[in-house]
Amino acid sequence: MLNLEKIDVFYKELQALWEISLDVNEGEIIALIGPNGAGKTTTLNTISGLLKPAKGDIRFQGKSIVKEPVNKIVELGISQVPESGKIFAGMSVYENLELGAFVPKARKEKKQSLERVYEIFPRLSERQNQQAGTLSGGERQMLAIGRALMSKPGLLMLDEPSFGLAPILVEQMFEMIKKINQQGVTILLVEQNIQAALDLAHRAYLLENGRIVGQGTAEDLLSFESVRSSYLG
Amino acid sequence: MRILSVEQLCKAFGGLKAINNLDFHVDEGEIVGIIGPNGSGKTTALNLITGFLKPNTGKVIFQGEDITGLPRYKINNKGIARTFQLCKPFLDFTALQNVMVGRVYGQDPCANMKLAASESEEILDKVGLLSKAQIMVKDLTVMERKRLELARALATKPDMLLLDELMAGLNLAEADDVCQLISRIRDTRVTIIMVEHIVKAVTCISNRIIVLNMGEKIAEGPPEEIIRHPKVIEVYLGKSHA
Repeated sequence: MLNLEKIDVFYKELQALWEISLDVNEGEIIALIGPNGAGKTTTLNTISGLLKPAKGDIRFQGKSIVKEPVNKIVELGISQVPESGKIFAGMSVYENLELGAFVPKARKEKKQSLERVYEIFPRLSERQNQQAGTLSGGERQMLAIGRALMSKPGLLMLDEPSFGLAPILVEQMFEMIKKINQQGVTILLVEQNIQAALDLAHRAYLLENGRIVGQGTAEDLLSFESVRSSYLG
Repeated sequence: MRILSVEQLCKAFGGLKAINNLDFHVDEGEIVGIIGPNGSGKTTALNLITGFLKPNTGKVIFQGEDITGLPRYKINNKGIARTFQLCKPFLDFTALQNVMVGRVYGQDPCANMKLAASESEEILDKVGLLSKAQIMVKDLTVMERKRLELARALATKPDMLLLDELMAGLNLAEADDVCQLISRIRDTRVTIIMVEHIVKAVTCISNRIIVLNMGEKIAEGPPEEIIRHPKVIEVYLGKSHA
């Protein structure tokens, strides 16, 4: 579904990604793990078009998207949930969700999408008229994911969905991600809660200093001594 | 020796009781962890102690003195410093300049800039950031900003340090490093209260843990007791930690 081929990304002179290649197959949950500063968020931002690679190609459903603008990439079916949600705090829950369905293709099916989001996150339905800034940390994260689903993505990219959440909410959040995946949405997940991410994911890539240094099934990665000592403490 | 007592503290936001009759104390040299669900009042409790919010009723006693409702800079001058959930450094200052702000305005403020700079360098060294002293903060990594957040608070020469989710967004190995740093700070006679969601980190470093739920204290005790407490498992830890 998604292929990255030898992507190089720079911030001015500083090279952040070095020849990153990765594949995501339809229906999979893929985890991207690694220390802070390894380039995980940079990778997501490059896929969604917020950053442009200096070299390499990105193909989505067979077609190169590397020259497409961000809005076009959303329209093609890739949606990103940024770290710590970044919802519109001054708008209501409903208005945030409505904005998620801005692309023409999704706008026509807004009603069905909204029903689906409310079914996955009943809490959002209860709070639809509440100002988003007054939501708790867990609810904000749900809203950010719900907003991303409103654009009817085939591929959903999540950047640290467990950030700042109580353990019990992390558990629930990962259950919901699983449910979204079972409804046919492919998922690319960046996460610091590595145990939880690897429990959920089919496969994972390990990123260090802007390079992919390991990949395999979740069990493979958990068995790497370096992963155990460097990330699980 | 008791360093902090919180007595019958209440704070409401409109009809919502964010903190309801909260009582707890902290002894000198302790590391006390505060855990609880999102929205349970942890950050509000820190805000009430540090003067960012005024309580409706109740008292905050620090080193024998009633500091309830004092402005935040006065509370800082009396020896309480804090960090913020989302780091709030001066992005266009260097790391050293950020720390100097704390040294120039904190408890025992230092008006001599040369001296403030050299003392601030010592503090950067303590948190492992000396090599970044001249780097603009906007160019620091997440881990470095967390260390800087600590250094800025330490520069005000606190007797007590309140940490608000300092480890959010870190993996367990990174959190371990921060734990070691916090232990070293405690060893320099700074009492610590930490709000934290990384249960493994908070349980291995705290002497005592206080659990909040809906603005009330629902449990308090040593970490090994807290992680087995049925109510804490129900509202906070979930099955996977039980």
